[in-house]
Amino acid sequence: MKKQYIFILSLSATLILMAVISVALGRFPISTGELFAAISDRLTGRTSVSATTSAILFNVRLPRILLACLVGCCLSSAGVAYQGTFRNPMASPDILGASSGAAAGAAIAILLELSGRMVTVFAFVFSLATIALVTLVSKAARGERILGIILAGIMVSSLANAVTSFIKLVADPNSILPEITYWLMGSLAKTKPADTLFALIPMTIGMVPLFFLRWRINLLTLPDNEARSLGINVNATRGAVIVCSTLITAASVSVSGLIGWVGLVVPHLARRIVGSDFRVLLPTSAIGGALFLLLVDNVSRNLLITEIPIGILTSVIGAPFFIWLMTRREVTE
Amino acid sequence: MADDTPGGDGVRRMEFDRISVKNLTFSYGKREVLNGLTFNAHEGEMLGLLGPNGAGKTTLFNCMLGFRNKEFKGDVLICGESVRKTPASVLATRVAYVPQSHSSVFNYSVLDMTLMGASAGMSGFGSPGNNQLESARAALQTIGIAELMHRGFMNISGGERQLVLIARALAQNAKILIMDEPTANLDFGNQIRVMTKIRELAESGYTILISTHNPEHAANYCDRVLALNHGVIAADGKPDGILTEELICSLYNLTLQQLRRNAK
Repeated sequence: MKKQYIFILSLSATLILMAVISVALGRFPISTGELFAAISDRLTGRTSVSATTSAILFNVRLPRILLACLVGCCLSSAGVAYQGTFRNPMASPDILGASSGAAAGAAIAILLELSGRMVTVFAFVFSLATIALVTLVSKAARGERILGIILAGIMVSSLANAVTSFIKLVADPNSILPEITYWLMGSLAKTKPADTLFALIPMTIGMVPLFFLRWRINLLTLPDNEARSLGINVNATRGAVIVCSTLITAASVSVSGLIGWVGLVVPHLARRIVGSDFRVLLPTSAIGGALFLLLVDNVSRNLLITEIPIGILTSVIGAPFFIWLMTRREVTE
Repeated sequence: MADDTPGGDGVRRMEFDRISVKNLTFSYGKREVLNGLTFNAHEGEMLGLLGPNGAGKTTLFNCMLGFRNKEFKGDVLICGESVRKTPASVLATRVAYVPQSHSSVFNYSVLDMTLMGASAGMSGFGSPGNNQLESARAALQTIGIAELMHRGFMNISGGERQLVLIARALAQNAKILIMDEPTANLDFGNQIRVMTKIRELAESGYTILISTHNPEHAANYCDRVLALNHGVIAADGKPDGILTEELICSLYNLTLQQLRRNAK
């Protein structure tokens, strides 16, 4: 237990260090010294760094770094929470269709040529509506509860995908379609400070209860009857975990587009290192996810002259990494 | 651990049976599964529940554990209080459920698995603290598997896993243990080890209701046998008195010949 907390602490330290280093990365050079100078300028009202530096730092680079961390943290927390509640190590944040719903919402907003802000709002609202629909359908379904929820999720996300496909079909191939396609690939390139703030609120609302429920997620991984006999209200607890996870997934996807693999790879890696106990696993996944997406985003914006959408990169890195994880022999004491 | 009786029973030290099932009736739609079951069990009593597949044993357990509160007729009193009126978190400190040893998708340490029992009845948010950790350790000690504490639940043998599930039930601090065929998946040696442990728990005051498919276990370890067939109690009494060839034959739909051939 002690060892695991030390691991979490050092992971957090690495994340902070990486975030500071990330500020220096980019086409417009900002040194670490300038970073601290600019922050102290803000606090004291002096002007020791140039206005351009300050503008790029506060309007572009910092919001993006922060957003990469937040999205990584949320997607990977949602993934690990879904895996626990559904007793399925292959569950990922989009298992119930939060991503498909967000994609449909974003596609509709882009088709209607709404502003970037409205695209985010549409994606967020559609994502939540999708999960609400999944919940309604699964309530009406008979038989095993978890299976009902997952099947309803598959059904509703397929419906949402159909909507997205149809919109791509009718969208203007010269202006609208590329924009939809680009959104679907997932990118943090257009991050504005407002996006980060917009995402921060639902993310906090979802993450805080999830953090306090983490011991109870352990109990949800037991067969339902056992968990009930241990005194927890299984349906209410599972419902709470699903609502929180959905909220943070929807918030992430609505600002970043579809970024796959984070919610699957990071929890698995974390489980290999710290074990299955969600008291440790959830914080480890959260911080690990933030670190992972921050690193990938650095590659995304620095490797080539044009940006590589981060969704493509996470797949390129995630898939082989996952195969490596699966084939590696499990270390047992 | 045996001293501090759970569920605030110190206040209500009146004489009552630990378990009191009154005219329990349950049906799935039109099919009646349990039909007017009535029985009691007191402190330190070990009750063996015999019955063929589909006799209603699992349904009986589910009713007793408060999973079917809205569906059954009659009543189940646990420590003198109806399960219908007992919140799940309180019930968990009075009656513990020991399932068959099973595999788990996620590999928890034996200590964490036991801790899940110790945290039963813990309200609201939050994680177990030092008290819970202590009672989890004590439960593992009682069962004699403290040395497995840091092993993974999935990396130990089926018999050891069963003992962990029993330790988890002890850590709940409940005085009633309901066990669903705890020896079903175990080899001969582990069956005996687990049954011996369970017998010791009954001696130390636990009330135990254990379902088994092995009449010999009921005969050798239990104080009393309850035979359930077609949703009614076919026999109830001391194993010596009621475990006759006739009962076994009618219970499991066997001919005397088949039974005797097996006993040879």
